[in-house]
Amino acid sequence: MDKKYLIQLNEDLIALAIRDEQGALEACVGTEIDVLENKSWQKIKLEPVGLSGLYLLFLDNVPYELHIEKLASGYEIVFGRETFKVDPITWNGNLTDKPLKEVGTVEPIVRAPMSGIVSEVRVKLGDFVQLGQVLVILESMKMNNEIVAPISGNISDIKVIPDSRVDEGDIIFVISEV
Amino acid sequence: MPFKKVLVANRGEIAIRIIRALKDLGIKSVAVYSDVDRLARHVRYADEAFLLGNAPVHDSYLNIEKIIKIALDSGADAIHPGYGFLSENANFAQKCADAGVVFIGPSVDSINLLGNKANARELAKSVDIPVISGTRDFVELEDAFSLAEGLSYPIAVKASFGGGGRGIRFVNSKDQLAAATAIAQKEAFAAFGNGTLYLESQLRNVRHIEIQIIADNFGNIIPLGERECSIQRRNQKLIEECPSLVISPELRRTLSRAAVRLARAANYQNIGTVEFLVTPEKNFFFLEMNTRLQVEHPVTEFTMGVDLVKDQISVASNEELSYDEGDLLSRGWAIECRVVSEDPFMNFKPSIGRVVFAREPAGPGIRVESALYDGVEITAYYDSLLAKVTAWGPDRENARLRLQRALKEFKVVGVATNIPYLQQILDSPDFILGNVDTSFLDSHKLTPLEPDGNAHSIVAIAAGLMKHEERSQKRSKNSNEMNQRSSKWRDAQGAFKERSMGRWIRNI
Repeated sequence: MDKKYLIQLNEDLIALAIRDEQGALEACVGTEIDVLENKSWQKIKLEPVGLSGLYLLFLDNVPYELHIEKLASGYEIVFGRETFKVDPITWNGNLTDKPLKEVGTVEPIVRAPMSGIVSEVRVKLGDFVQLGQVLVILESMKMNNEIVAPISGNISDIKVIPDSRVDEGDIIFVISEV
Repeated sequence: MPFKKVLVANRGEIAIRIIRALKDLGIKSVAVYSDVDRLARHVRYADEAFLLGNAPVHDSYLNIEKIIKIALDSGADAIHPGYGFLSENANFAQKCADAGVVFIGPSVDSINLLGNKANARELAKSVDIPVISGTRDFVELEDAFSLAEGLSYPIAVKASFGGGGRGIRFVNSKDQLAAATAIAQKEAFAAFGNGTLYLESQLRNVRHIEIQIIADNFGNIIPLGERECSIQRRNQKLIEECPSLVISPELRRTLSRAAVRLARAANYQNIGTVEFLVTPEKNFFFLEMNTRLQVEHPVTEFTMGVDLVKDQISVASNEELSYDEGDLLSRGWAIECRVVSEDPFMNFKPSIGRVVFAREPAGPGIRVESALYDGVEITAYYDSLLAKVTAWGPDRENARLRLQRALKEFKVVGVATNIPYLQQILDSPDFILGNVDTSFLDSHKLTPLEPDGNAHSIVAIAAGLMKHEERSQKRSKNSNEMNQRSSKWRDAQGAFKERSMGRWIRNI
């Protein structure tokens, strides 16, 4: 008897079946159709290495190192240079409509991409700014970083002044579209 | 008189490097730290450690009064400034002298003379070293136009008291000059507290080649070969090697003699680096002299078999150098790369946060200088260098392959690093052939490699397995009577208990 799961990774929906073959686990991974047709099974094994969140995954005797952190719901997995937030759900084997990827919209809010000190504010309230125009210079790690307008529009709110400290994610500007 | 105790006025990997040299010399080490660095490795490795103050550099690693007070209170004979921070600050060197503490570096006069780029160029000219045509210093921005008349474009606007690639702007035509000088002056003022500028003609297709020298107080000045540092991003070195593919023994001798002449003319003591630009026709031009230990010193140490930090401490304590130029023999090839917390796939945005897991490479021919540890918080207060990985091999290709192997082993979780970018540079055909110049990273636009095609299935399997295990643990909870009995029995026998490590000999 296998157990089935669905895992959403960015825009990919991945189906997974896991079965126990005489004490050894095997996985079938792919699209929902692939898994339902039991296309190919690989031997799998996952074990923590020490207590720092490092895991060793074996896929048919090929070792992979991953870093896995348990979240309130799901896991944060670092593999190679990429970080994934994943929350597998159990699957009854019925074909699902693929979850639609949300269409990205540009927020008219400019947030600090990193912590730092505002060294220069180049625009004032009410200014019309072009897409890509430099709004502020943010000093971080001894480097001056230019924060640019994500859209064209009028500056409707400024939350910083020169020398103010901002943390990553803080709102620094609001731009209203014209 | 050898030193008994030395204060290390720096942080990060270089503070650790210096503390290690002090231990090798049997000298006690004193670390200083800012509040965010209180758990740092340089603090833990030192014999004594003192708090400087809050994280901002002016409260901590640039706080001259406090550093000298700690040196005096702790009874240190000398201060090692490392690189960056106070290492090229003549005022600091003077205050050390006034307090009766040895500054491990050149004299105040040498720092003053070579620290001003225009003066250094005049000095180089006076000892027959070719210099790039440039102008006198100026402060008034309007002067730029009359001064630029005598130069050919492209022109570089540079800060007279600059360093580390800051305060430099490049100008391709006259109409860009006004804006570039204004920005360069602003940046120079912010970074070095002095807005003096000069203009310099720009050479194309040049390599950055530097000569390491060491000088003692007995008139011995020894050149230790060249370093090739042409792989730079925005004037910040990224990959350095020793020796250089394009430097023939004759050219090496010429550059070395030039470096020694300059050092002698500046009455130079301690270690220093004379930087040159070398054209494809093998013409060379003096760029500047760095009056301190360089970040990239390990490549020279690997090939020349010396310990530059130990030697610089010894010569500062008035000892004579134990070797002569003729004793030195360059062996094999060394390549270093700088691992920084910048995201190469997000326009090199500095990445800050907690490193939850770090594993440094090791193995044949690999040397790692790093201040990383599990749990270290990377902040915006200091520069982004996390570690230097240096590989040695009998030849360039073997060193390159070892470096690739090491970068593959290097794992940092929690902040983004430039490791994938370094791997791409090391794998690019022009780097493999050694076709590099200072415009390499501009002319080779490296786009992010597609991640491993397998990555998504690997991550999905791992996530699914985690979930699978959790479910089966829940199911078996409270049910496995046998297991419980057997573990009680095992406990009674004193068997190994998971996570307790109670019975094993611990050593920390």
